[in-house]
Amino acid sequence: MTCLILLPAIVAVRGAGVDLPQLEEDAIATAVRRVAPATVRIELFAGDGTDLFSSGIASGLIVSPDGWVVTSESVLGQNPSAIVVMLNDGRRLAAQHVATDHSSKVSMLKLATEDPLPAIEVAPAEEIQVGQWAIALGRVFESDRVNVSVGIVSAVDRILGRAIQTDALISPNNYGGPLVDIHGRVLAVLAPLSPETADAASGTDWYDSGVGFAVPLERIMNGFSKMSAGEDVYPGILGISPKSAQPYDPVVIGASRPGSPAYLAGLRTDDEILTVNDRLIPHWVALRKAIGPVYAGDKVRIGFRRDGNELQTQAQLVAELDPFSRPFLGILPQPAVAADEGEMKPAGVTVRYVFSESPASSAGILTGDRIVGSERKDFANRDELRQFVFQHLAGDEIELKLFRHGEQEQLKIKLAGHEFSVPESLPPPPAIEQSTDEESPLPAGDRDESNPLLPDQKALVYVPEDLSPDERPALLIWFHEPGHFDRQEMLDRWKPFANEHRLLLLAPISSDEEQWEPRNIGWIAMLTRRMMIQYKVDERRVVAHGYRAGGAMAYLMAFSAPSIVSGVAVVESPIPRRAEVTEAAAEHPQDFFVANSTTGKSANRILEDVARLQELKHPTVTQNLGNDPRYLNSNELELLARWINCLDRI
Amino acid sequence: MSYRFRIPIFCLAGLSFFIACSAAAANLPAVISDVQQKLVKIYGAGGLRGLEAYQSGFFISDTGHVLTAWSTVLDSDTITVVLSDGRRFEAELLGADLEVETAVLKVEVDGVPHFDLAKSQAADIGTRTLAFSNLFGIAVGMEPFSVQHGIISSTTQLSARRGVFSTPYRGNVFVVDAVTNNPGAAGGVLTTWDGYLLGMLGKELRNDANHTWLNYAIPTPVLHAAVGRIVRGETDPASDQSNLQYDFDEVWRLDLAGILLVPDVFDTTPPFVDTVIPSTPGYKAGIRPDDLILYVAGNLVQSCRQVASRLRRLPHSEPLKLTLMRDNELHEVILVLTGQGDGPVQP
Repeated sequence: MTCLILLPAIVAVRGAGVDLPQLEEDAIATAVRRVAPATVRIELFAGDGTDLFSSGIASGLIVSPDGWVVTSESVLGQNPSAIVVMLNDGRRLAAQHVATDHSSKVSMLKLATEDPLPAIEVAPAEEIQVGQWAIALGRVFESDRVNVSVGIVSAVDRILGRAIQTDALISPNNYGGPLVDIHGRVLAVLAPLSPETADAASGTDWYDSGVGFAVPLERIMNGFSKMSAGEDVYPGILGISPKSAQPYDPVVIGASRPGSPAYLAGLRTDDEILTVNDRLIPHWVALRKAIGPVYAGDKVRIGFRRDGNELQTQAQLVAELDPFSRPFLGILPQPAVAADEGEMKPAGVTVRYVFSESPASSAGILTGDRIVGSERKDFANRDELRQFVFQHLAGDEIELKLFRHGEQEQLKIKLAGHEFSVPESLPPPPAIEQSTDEESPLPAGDRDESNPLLPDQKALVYVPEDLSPDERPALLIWFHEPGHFDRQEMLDRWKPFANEHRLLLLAPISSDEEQWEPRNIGWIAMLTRRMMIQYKVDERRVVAHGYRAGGAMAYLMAFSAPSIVSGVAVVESPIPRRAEVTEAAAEHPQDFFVANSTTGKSANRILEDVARLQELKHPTVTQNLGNDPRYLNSNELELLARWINCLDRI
Repeated sequence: MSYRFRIPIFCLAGLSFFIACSAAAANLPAVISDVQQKLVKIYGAGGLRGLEAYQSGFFISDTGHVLTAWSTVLDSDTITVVLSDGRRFEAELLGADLEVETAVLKVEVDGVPHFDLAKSQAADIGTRTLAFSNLFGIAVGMEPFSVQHGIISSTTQLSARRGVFSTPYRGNVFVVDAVTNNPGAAGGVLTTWDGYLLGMLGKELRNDANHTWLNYAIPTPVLHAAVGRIVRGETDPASDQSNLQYDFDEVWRLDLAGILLVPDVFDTTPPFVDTVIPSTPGYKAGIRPDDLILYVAGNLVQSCRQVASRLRRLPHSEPLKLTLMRDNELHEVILVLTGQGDGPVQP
């Protein structure tokens, strides 16, 4: 009986809180008082440019009593010449911007102070829970009071796992200030992050929206020793690309960039990543969240599966990857299996030419050999051989299995770098030797094409009359110099070349007499694709070619459509300034042929362009035209034809 | 006390705690309902070019005086006021205080619940508040105003703009962390959780400093004083000390001290010192070329223009304190213009 009476009383006392709202208010006020001394006002002077949301007054947080202050990177966006930090007691101290955390978008300042500054307590990041109180502080209104907004933690692991989300009102009134818990411990630093773009201030549009982000302070302080020494810290990159385009598919590696952390850790194509730091990774989105918060220089443990076995490795992430440097085996392949080999499996790749003084020649590969596989896998075609070779660095040793006159051989080959020169003579361009059933002849000869939607976009097309359905021709996209276009002259000039070297000509016609319209590239790319399919063009030998202003169009097309254009041949043409020159990538290798004279208009700039292309690891062949600017002569045209012939080299 | 009595008393104590707790929570609907009866919807001019034709207001007397924001909505031949019980009245504009941007309307009604502006409630940063307004004109007829909750984020001087123009009121405001800056919300009320009036919700303004929309309310004492002025028919607000104008030859100019700043060619040219003429007060005070002026008389300045604007309010008969940045160090100097060429007073 006594128990029964006691029970409701106990329950009632437990459930009561006297005036709960008042208790909460008091707790919040106490938390604010605890961290207010470490919340500082930052005043910025003499910056460049004007940013609508930036006023020169912002908030910051003292993270160490010997004078270290963090703030949002966006606060320093206008490169102020002078930064002054005002403490809560009114003292002003000059501050220096020492380093930036590019992953968290947070900057570190150092104050010149002799007296110790107020200290803070940092909440452990893994204790942060969705639903807990989150109090945002700034010091932009009054210099002697903080401004406060109260909300909850709405989510964790946002922005690639780097930030938490709150519904307290976050705006330029508190960017750079702390987000604290009900005990006054600092959870995170407020910043205008955005889930959509990577700029430092891109989230400013979302201010006061109820969706605000902050970077856990514990994470930032892990990089403190580097930042306090003046070293910026960066998000870490692993260096793999997916096999599948679906973000929720299992993490099967499509390629691991040679030289990248993944590569050095031993990860290769077809490996499936299962765990990162013992955290299960069911799909690519989870991988991005696991890698997102890791910094360049940090190591991660990776569990993966290969051929049914579960293995472990460790990768040290980097801030940026080197451009892909194409390794060289030294052969020219046939595009597909020769007819007389028939049903033999695996299909493999027949060698049509071996480059002298190449790894292939040193290892004893001969013309006619059929390379069928590596140690671990078989090659169905030349693309698979190429992918395999491109998964290696120059200097790596590989093992290849091949058939020669019916006998299997095994060769060890040490790959070389991508420097090569166009041989003096070559066998004719490749063809499919098996006959097909196709009876209907393809449209050959010359014809005019135009864009049905925009009829002022026109092109002249020439297909050699004797083109066999078995051939895999190259495609030359010739951008003439804008101005007078003479159809017959164009045909007279290119027909013999096309016939001899087995290539199709696609010559877009500039609608304007003075200059090319870059917007035409879209239609030209479509037409190129159509011809590639129609005539079974060898996709490794699609070349954009131009002289002077035509060359600029060739460059633009190559950089905007790398999946179509595999070669660029320009004469007397600098890279146009608007072109976004991309670094070499294994997925779409591109070759460059740059010819110019020493006294031409842009001779110096062209030299710089060649240096830049080489820096980005694009194989670039140069041809000096002598003193006077001109187009290629007949010898040089032959050289160009042989260069086109070599574009599918491995 | 014997064991037998302790338990029932303990029980009772527990129960009363329980009642107290739930009483606090149960109060909120009652508080809100109470406040709603004091609120009115106002309809007037507008509806063109993005200016809304509605806003909020509240009774400040039991004879039908309504306080609201002074805005274009009141610029109408007919101002309609709708009470919380749905009754509609035509209102008369009694007067407005253009500095505080508040206006008093009169409707012919008696015995209405109202706020007493003379009673001001203590509030500080962190105080929980409720904001009542007819934001977006959602409520019509007898429908109640929308209620939002938030805390007082800051108490500060208003420094705001509407579009290109600064607003005249530069006095104290509450800034809240609820998004009260909405069409139709001006003239609404900010109260404590007990329903006491803290202030009137302001207009759609941007914070001058960083261009963000400002969620603010004008505190009750300021409204009280403004209403007093309206009732007494006083039109000129007391002028701010800082607006005192001196004649051009009475105010400070840096060139008087031998200091020349860099040419002011941009909108916001940073105030770097270009030249300091030897033997002048500026030179003797230690100012040097490439110094950057950060504060004039303790006020932050971020451009040559701001420096000039600050100096215009200071008579050169008084010493001038400048805070400079040189080689990443702060330096404070005091400039005194002497009459007869004696050295200036060193700081």
